[in-house]
Amino acid sequence: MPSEDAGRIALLQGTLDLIVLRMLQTMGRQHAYAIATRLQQVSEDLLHLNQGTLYPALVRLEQQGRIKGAWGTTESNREAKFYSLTKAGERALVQETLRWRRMSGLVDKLLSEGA
Amino acid sequence: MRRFAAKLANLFRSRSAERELAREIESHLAMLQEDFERRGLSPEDAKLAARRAYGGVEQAKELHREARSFQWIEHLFKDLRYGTRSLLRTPAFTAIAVLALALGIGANMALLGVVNAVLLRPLAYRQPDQLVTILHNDRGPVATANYLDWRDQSRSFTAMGAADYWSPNLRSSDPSDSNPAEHLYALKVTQNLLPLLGIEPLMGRWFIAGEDQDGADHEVILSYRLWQRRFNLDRNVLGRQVTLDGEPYTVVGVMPPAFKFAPFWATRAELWVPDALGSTLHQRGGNHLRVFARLRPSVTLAQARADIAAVTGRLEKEYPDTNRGVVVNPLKQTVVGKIEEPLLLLLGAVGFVLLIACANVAHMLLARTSDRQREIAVRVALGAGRSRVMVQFLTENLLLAALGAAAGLLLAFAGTKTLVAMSPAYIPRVETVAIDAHVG
Repeated sequence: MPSEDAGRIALLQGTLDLIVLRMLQTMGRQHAYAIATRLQQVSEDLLHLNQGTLYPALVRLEQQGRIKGAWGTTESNREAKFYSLTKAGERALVQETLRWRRMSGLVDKLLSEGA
Repeated sequence: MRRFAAKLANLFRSRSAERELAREIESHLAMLQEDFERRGLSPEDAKLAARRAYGGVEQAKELHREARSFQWIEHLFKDLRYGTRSLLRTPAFTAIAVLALALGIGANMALLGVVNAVLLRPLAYRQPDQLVTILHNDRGPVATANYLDWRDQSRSFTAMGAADYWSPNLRSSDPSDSNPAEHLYALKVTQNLLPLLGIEPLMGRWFIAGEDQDGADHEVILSYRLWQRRFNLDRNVLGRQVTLDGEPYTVVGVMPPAFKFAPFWATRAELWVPDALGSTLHQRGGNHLRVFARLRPSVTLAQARADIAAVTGRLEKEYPDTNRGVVVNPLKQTVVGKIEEPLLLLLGAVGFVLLIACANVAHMLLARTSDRQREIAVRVALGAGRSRVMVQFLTENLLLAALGAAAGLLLAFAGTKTLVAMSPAYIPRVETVAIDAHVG
């Protein structure tokens, strides 16, 4: 809840998908826990995110064919489901990034010009 | 498109998807816990911290289910199953609620069926809006000489005919016919009356000109029901002789099954014979005819009334006290006139019965819901969202409503039969009452 803690950012609808795609691109094959941890590190706890909310994004992306999940074992020898980017995922990431840049650029412009 | 297929597929493999999700979450929590332990927490504290960091497991699972499949379909089936169980658990409540709804709905449908048949549906004649009755004081019969003068002197009508009540004894003149003699309801009609209605005979023909002359008036047209009952739908009935009140009549036609005449008095007439009017031609007393007419296409009811008023005004001067209070009314109004108001009143009353039934059921549901606060609380704690609980209760109530409606429909069918059977003969058109899609 944004009102709970003004310093934290509520995630925009849809941006989580983009972030997950990007992370899988930079980090390679990863399980949900690693993605969640990494997300928290990068955002320096600015993002308020229950780790469980990652799961709907993962299942959505998997059904869209942008990522693929497969069971494997971690370094600590624990079984986990590892996700990796597909070809379609790569393409989607390029497009979504472009869209995001345009969108944020527009918002930036509006904010700095004072409309 | 691809996602649609995946979601659809997940409807059928929800159990394995569920297992995989549980496995994934379990490993996630374990890794979280290890992490916290590495940071120096005791295993118990680490476990709790892991839970906190992850958020509500059941809520996360529910979100996952929503993303992965068409949850509402799964929910619908679950809710229907659950609703059935919950209604069966309180059979007294369910029975009373269904009964209340059934009575309300059933009574309304039965009466709507009557209103539809009696008031709303147009009369079963060609262009029934053009048909009028011309009678003394709305419904009173007319003397022969007056009818003839109206017919000859008015200009608003394409045709004017008259009918008289008759109840003869029918006996077959065929000695091999073993049917007993039968007392029947019949109408004597002027030759042009049946063509005026615009309904063709099923077989045979109308009376032709000249057949309403004295001595030539021994032909008869049968109703479908009489044909069926008395002649076993025998196609060779045309030309056969029957005996009516001891005199031989020749069958010249059979009317279609739906044909009814007259619609407002003598409603049970099953056969029609020509009316020679012979002995009464010059009578202005002894009123006995009902007069029917069809308006010319360009003539309004008001014009026709003015026309008849002028004609009867002249006749009244010539023959005082014979042409008073002559009224031209649409046939439909003559048919339903007396019954319209009480029927609509009754419909309103029955409508209120349904309202009261609904209010009662709503009240009972409300009381039941407050009894179920605990159940709702548990469901919310287990991850059901607000809307999810609402949908569940809605499904349960819709189930109740559907049961009530089904029972009401049965009641309406039974009720309509009873209503028709019990209805006094003066309710016109009641024999055509039926529960159909119009009513529902």
